[in-house]
Amino acid sequence: MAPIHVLLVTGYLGAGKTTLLNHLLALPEVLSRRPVLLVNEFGSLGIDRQLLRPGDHAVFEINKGSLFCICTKTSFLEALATIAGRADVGLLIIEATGVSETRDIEAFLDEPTLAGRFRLQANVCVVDATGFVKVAAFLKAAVSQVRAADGLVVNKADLAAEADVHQVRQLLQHLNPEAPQLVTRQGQVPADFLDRLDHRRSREEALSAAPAPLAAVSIRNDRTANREALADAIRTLGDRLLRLKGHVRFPEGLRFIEVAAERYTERKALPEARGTAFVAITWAVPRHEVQAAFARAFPSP
Amino acid sequence: MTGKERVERAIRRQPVDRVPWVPFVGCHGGALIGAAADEYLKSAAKIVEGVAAAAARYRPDGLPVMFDLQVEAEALGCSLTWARENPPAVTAHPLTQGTKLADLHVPGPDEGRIGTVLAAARELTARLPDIALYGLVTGPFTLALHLLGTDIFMGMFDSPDEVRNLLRFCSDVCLAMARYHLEAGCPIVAVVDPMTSQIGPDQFAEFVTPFVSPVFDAIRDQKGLSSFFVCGHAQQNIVAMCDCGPDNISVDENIPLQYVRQVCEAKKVSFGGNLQLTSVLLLGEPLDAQRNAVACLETGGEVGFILAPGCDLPYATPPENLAAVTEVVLDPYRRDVVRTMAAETVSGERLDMSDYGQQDKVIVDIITLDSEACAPCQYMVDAVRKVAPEFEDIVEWREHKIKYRESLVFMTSLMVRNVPTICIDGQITFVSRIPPRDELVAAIQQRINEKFRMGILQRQGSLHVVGEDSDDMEQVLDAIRRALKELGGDVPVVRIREPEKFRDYGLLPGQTPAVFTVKYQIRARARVPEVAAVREWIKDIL
Repeated sequence: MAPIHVLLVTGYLGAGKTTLLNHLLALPEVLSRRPVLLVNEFGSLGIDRQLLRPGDHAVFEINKGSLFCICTKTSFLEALATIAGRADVGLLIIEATGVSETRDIEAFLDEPTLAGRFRLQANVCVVDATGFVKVAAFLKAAVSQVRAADGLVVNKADLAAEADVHQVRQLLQHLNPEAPQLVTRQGQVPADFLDRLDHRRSREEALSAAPAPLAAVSIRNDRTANREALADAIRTLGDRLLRLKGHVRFPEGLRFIEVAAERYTERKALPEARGTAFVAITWAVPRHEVQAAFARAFPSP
Repeated sequence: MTGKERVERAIRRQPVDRVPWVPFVGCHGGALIGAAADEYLKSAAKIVEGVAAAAARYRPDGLPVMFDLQVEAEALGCSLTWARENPPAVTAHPLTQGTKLADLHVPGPDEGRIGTVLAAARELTARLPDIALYGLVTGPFTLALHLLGTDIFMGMFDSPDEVRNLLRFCSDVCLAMARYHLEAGCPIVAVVDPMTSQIGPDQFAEFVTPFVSPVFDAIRDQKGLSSFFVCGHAQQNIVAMCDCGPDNISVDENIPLQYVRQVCEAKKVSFGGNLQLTSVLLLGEPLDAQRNAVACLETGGEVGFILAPGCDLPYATPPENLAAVTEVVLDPYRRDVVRTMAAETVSGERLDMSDYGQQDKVIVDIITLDSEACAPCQYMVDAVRKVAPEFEDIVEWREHKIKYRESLVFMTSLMVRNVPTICIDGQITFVSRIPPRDELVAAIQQRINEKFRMGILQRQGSLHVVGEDSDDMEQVLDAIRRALKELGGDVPVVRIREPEKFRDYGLLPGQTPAVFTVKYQIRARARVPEVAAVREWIKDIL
């Protein structure tokens, strides 16, 4: 039997994977290939099957809550073995959980027990234009999925400011310069975007953390900020400061500040705030330099 | 030294007589007693029965009471979906559905299935006093993920204080659960926090260390021992895990054990792992399991190491694979055998041995590690060497040392699994046992008798009478006719009259009439024989 082609869809929860799957299942080019879906049905890490478009395609589900990658492997291989035995399948679409490592899934497809029944055609990573920068600094799988992708879909572009979309695209370009990007909304991906993708096998090791240039730095202290020095730190970091959010104690009182795509906003502090505490997500700046830049904004009393 | 003492000493990095073995039997205990996971994980009686069955079958040094990281989450209001061959999965997170953190309280020892686990723990500590029972508690980060879902990752940036408050609560739950398990008699508490593998060391220091370290301190204060289980790609956090203050850490196959050993030895923390759960223990064969176990034992070393799978054993793990691990743990000789075999990979390489043993001689094969280096192998070879001359040229023997690749292929082709083993004409006859002389003689004699009977049945022959027609030839043919009549046999007589063919029979002019007996023996029928088998047949006629 000829190998079953596989389309792998990765992306963090809320990036729009289910919407994209539903869009794909409406495309004649996809339906004509007799697709089956392999999805994680349960838990917020996976997709909700109830939201999947009904149709003439089988859905295989992995019910493991996706907590343990190794345990998931068992269920995954069982489902793949079942699909491998079917002669009526032309395309397998796999929806990975938001915390999956792409190379793990590629390894599942290469298990000797499956004897070459599957050929990964492409893996597509769906990225949420509104939230990717925030998640990427904390969840290493969000970044490793991008780095392993053959194509990147920047979704929800209609919900993000143009500057935010630009910032996400730049970050993606840094993380994976080879993958073509498609900016879209509501998972609208044309079939020819997928057809043009070439799968290049992921050889890199799983990330052990967010890549070094991407850092989340927490600043907490009881001091009062020098407003000019803080503004200077933010200016100095420039577009390398991807996001900043939290409370800062100024001489006039506690304030909530936010920086997104070089836009600074400031408003009244939240009632539960007790002192200076904010998180800065930076790109291409050593962590200690970020800490030093902000330390200058909080002089000793 | 009991298993419990062995595990406790290993966790404390004290010398042990051998590396302890702790199979993480969770829902697999249900499979051992014929109960589905959703039935097993809800019943203290079944858990006791399943763990006792595992103790009897796998002879472990330690076992978890139960392996289900949804127990606390369920007690705190998470919805679960149950499966027959898996632990349950959390399908709804209360903090995303209107429940406030302030509405939650640290569950008591009787809430939800906590009472079930603790009842099983009390019963098992009484029934299995020599086994180190692990009480498992869900780590703060994983419990927080159960309660809040993956919003926690966004929350680390958007609302880190709220995430910290949640983690503080989860730490309190963890502290309480650890205390319950210690009070129920478990000497070891394992904090299982697999979701921490999803974050890097900086986030670990900020969102894990402050909330899990007090749990390890509290366990120590209560005279218990602790282990920190993390599965997944967690190599980046091994140092940070050790710095949290557990007595032991346990990892899965995603992390090189050598690296874990280096870090743990420097940090004076014991460690455990990392048998391959799916590829080997679930889908492999006993020999695969033994090879993997031996590799782990060699890498882990003898101080402060516990042999264990990386995570909860799959429900359907073949018991024989785990029993095979037990064998190499308990039997150093078996370890040597597997170690030697591990040097060669012969997977899928098999000789067709169906024709083996059809030569005239009886072949005695002795499969050994190496009779010059292994005492049992030497005794077995000596036994055969002494007996063989009694059969003069009928018996031929040889040793196959599995340190050589061709011997290993030969061994696997004969389906031999243990060494030393004696095969007579390709049939496994004596396994790991030096046969007494009389027994060995009888076995060889039995085979000779079989061959003799078989030979009569399978042999065919003819007489070739070579020479031109003559009076002498007529007398020869008359003698043959009379002999056949007397014997009552039916042997074809082939007349060779053409002088140009006489030379093919090695006859010179003047040497006719001549008579040749020609025997045919079926060696292979409708098959392509292996070269090894053909070689033996050829020896018979050389």
